[in-house]
Amino acid sequence: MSTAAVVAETELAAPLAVARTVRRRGLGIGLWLGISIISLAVLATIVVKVAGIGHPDSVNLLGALASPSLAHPFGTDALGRDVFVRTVYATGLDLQVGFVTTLVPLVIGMVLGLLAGFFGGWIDVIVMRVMDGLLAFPFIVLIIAFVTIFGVGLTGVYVGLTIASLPAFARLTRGEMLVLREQQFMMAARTLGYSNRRIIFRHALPHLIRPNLVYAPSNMLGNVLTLAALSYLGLGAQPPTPEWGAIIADGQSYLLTSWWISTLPGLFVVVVGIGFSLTGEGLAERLRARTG
Amino acid sequence: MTPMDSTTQSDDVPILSVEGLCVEFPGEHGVVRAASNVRFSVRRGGVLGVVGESGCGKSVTLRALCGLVPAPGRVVAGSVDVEGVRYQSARELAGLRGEKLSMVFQDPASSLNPVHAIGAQVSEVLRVKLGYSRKAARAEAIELLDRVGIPEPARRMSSYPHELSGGMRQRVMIAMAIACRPRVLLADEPTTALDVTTQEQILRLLLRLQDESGMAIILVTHDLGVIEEVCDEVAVMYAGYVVERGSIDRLIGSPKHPYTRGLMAAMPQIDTRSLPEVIVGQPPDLATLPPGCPFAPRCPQVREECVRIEMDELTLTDCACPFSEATGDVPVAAGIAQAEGAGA
Repeated sequence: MSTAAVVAETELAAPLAVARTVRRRGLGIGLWLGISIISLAVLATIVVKVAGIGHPDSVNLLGALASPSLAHPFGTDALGRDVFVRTVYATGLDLQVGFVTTLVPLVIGMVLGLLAGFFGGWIDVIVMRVMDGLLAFPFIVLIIAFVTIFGVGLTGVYVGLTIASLPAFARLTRGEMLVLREQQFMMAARTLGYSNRRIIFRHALPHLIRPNLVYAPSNMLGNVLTLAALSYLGLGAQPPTPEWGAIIADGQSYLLTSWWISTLPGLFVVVVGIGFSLTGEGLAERLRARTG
Repeated sequence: MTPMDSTTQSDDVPILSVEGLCVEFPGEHGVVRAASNVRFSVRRGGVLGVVGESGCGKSVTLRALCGLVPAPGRVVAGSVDVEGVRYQSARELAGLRGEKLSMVFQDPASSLNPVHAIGAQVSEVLRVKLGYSRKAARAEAIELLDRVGIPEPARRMSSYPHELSGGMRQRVMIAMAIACRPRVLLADEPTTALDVTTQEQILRLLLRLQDESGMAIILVTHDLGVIEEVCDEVAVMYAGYVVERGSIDRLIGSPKHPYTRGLMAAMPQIDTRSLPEVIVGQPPDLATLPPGCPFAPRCPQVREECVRIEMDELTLTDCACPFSEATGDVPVAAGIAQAEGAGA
């Protein structure tokens, strides 16, 4: 019986230690709030889509420009479409674009940064000068250029946002790699006769994922807002596709009479945006708590 | 009798010898020679100590041996013979890493990767370099950890470096270094970052492992006490040159080069009440080496000819000071006065 007690104690030790760490460092209210907001937005999208509550394109001209009510929390637009349903559908699209245009450049940018930072020399020069070249364009102009190449619509936005996000990840990774390269365990790995590939991907990579993950939410937020801005300008998602910027642009001409069409989706975007900011901030704080 | 003979013979043949090694770093004020015409050898089962002040080229020499001179430095001349095979370029030397040469570093706190468990790091060497299976590597890793004196090695396999003390980390590092049974172990101040009792244990461990496997050790240190304890041959370095080399007994008993004598005199003695003597001045800046003997500005026995001697030729001999036999009678005070004159 006493043995069982000892076993139970050692098994309990691990979760207890975690609980103690959380208590000591604080819950990181911001991080949890941020993650909750994003999860809620994602959850709402899934629920509305799966349960089939309303359709973003179902027109009801008799109920056009209705003010917010229980049936239509965000009111209806000039065609009688439910603005809330449209906003929630738009969330799915916007987050998807944000996610893809963050994950893809994260992976490619990390690899470029790893190689540039590890090998230095001409690889470094070529990679980083190309990245600097991309940075030299104003962000939005670069994306509009790709939209021009691929035609108005989401393809150009996907490609443009991906390429415009590359330099940040590449530079971040390269900088960290330059620091890491001087660490003694990197030298030790080389004296053991490991291949460069093994050293880069097995010994260095795990150290470089964290800073990139910390930066990723802010990049994602930036990209989502850029997509909204482009759609607002008529360069991104095309009507009738529900997209945040497009919805806001739709309501613009009714701003004085039916304020909810632009305002409520706008506030929704702000709240989700705050969710991303809090998440990024919270992750950064976590990282500092760990290393400092 | 015959096997005896063959062992003695193979023991006398150097397992590693360095010939005329020069390492240069391009700098803003011209080329800096971090290692000049370095020449030494170590025989099978031998321990060679390399001593000298900070910045005298010890570590650079060691790194050059495995082709790891930090950029922008490079090996401009010289060769390394390992088991009778000659290696010259950094690329050739890089191929020696692991199976022929491996290295233990000064700071065990940062020479293990903090994100991997120590068991994984030791097994990785075996799997990558010797092609062990996952299971066999694990068993061998436990065996290795046991050999380097880690208690409960099987349990320790899943520990991370930050969970171990400095001495334990150094043991893990040594386990990784000996995993491929290298012919020569390069140890770059392996005990400097450890406290004195741990230093002793690590040195004992190195000697025991050497005894078991017959590998040679090149030990870089600035601690003469360590040298005296474990080495059987010594190379003394100053400003990138090997200024004196020989057996430990000869060097301790009758050091020839004035720099070696200075080092010996600077060692604190427990049994006397006199303070250790200091070598006046600072080691020279390698970018602006004085002509002739680099030690001349600090040498208590400096002569006028010292600025005209050819170091590259003198480093071929066991003592790089041509006047070492006839120095004893120069008064020390006069030597210092001259040294200050030369420095100014």
